[in-house]
Amino acid sequence: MTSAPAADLAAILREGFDSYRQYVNPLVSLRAELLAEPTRVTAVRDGQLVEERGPVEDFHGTQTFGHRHPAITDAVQRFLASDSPNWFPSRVNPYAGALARALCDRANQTLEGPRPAYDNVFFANSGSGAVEAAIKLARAATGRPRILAFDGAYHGCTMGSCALMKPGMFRDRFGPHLPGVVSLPFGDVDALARELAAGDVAVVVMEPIQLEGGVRTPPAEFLAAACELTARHGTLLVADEIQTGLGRTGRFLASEIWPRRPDIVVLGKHLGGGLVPISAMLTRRDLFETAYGQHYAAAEAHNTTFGGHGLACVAALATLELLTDEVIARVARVGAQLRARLTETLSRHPLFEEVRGAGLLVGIALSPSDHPWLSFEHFGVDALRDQPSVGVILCHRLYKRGFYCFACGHDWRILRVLPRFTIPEAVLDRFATTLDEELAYVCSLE
Amino acid sequence: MTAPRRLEGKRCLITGGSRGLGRAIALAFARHGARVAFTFRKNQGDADDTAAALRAAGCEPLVFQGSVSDAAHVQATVKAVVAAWQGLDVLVNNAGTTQILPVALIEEEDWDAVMDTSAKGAFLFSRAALRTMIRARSGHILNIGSFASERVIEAPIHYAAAKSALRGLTEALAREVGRYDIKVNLLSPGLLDVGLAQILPRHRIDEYVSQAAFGRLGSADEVAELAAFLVSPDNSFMTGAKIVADGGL
Repeated sequence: MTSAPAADLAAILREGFDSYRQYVNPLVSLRAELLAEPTRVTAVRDGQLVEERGPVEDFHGTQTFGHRHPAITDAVQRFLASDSPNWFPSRVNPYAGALARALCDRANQTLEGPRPAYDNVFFANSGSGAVEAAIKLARAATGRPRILAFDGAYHGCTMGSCALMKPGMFRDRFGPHLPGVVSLPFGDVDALARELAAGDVAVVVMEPIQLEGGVRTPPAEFLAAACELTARHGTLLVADEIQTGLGRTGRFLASEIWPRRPDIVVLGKHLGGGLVPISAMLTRRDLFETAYGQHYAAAEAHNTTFGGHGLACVAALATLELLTDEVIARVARVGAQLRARLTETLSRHPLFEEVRGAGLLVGIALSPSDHPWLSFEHFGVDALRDQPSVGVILCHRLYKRGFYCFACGHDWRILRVLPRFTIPEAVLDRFATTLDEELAYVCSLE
Repeated sequence: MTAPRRLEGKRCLITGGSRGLGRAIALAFARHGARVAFTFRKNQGDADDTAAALRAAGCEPLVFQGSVSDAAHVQATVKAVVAAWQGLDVLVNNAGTTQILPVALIEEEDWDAVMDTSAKGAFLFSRAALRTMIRARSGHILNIGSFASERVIEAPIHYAAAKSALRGLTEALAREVGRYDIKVNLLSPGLLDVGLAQILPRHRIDEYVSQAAFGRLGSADEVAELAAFLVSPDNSFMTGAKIVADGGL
């Protein structure tokens, strides 16, 4: 018996892009081609993607330590070379146990010192899956129906998480949505107090910094009120830290600084080192037991088959190893420098509004151009005629200069920049200079 | 009976306006009441003569020296015109160059120079002018082509190619900016008493005259009059058009 030939990676990298367009998502391929995105990346060198135009610095944020970091790759390869099981039929999974312990240990330490809050973890395969786990846990633990979210939110694309989404492209065509979900104005303390007073709210779900909503940080007084009001009314508080967690804002968790530690924290994105998908919901054991009881009848009332499988946990453990206090401190320092540099450099441009964010989660807010020839209508994309084009045009220009940038999903005026934690400062300087030049060009078209 | 003044108060910019057809267009526009700006590349004397002729016609021109293929010059010129007049109504992409050479003797740099002047220059000036015209949702762009790209005749291939490129630019641009009521047209003259005819061998001119229905060369002034109509409010429905004025070749 002959074995099947191993996948021919070179052939896949040669032909698979076209197959993607044909068999997966032709609209994504269309967008990438129209915007001249660096799509045909076929190699990784020193953490950067490589395409025919040269190296590409990826600012999406999923590759915290660069693409295919050697230590994470090595951990995965060593696991695959071992004879360890990857999946455990009993679900009593030592790798999940080890990772859960490591995550709780890290999360219970803050920059200001120990602040214990978490001793129970659920693993899923995506951020959406972890958000689903959070809202199900909250409903089961409180016995209440309602869920509060905020305008500008992005919590995922499954039916439950999608119900929390800001209205628009990501949400509108999928109704009817999960009942009991209410979206409140961003930062509105009075609205929050009014809704919570009814006593039927299971959970408030919020992002420490709304990324897709435009890199928006809730005001401190709102955070204080949310922490106090949820505690007073017996409502659980969820911090969706899929974008902000794991060092991105210069702290292990951005919600470390909230007056009350949230009852649930959701992590994902680069938890698997950019190699293996994995997400996590951190909470307390007492909440788990309130929701699912102390006997095994409901042990798997909420579960996912491959959540926390061995390979994913090994990648996550290797990622946590890299995520030292020194690295996180560097994120805070370099991020502050970058935001200051961008503010100083870009302020001369009429379309520039402000730079915001924390750590290496950076938002660059721009004014929408009112020139007709910079409108999507002029570009022949009538479906986007009401969307500002300035962020997309800048991204298009930056692609050609080797920077893979993105506009925020809910607000295309805002460029979201999430560099790898190890990015050399010289590259960030070059980015600031390049962005200054390209914004000058776009402003010259005004 | 007085002749109509089709361009009263219109703000017009003509590239390559110091001599030949460009100069004739500048003067015709002035006769029609336009405010005229023109660019030239090299010959200051020609530019001074044209400016003087415009002043004599009661038009104080704006004059700019530079290459139409130099993006910085293009930007600065359009910016200065717009600053002076608070807008721009008409752009005539007239600048062009050629050498009468057979294919074997056309060097790469010759090709580039001809393409840069006719095609790239028209692109750069159009882009710069459109920024203002689109905001105003009004304007005319007139590209000056040539019979050399319209007929199977003996013509330098780089010149014919560059003028053909202008046809594509005209049609596509007319489509793109029509929504803003901006007209983009191509005027392709035949052999005139200025320009190319000055450097053609005599037998080629005789051949042209013998084959043309009118049996003569065109005059720059009659083509310039046609140009004035094409960029005037009287032309309210023609865009993306190719107008050949070659005496019936």
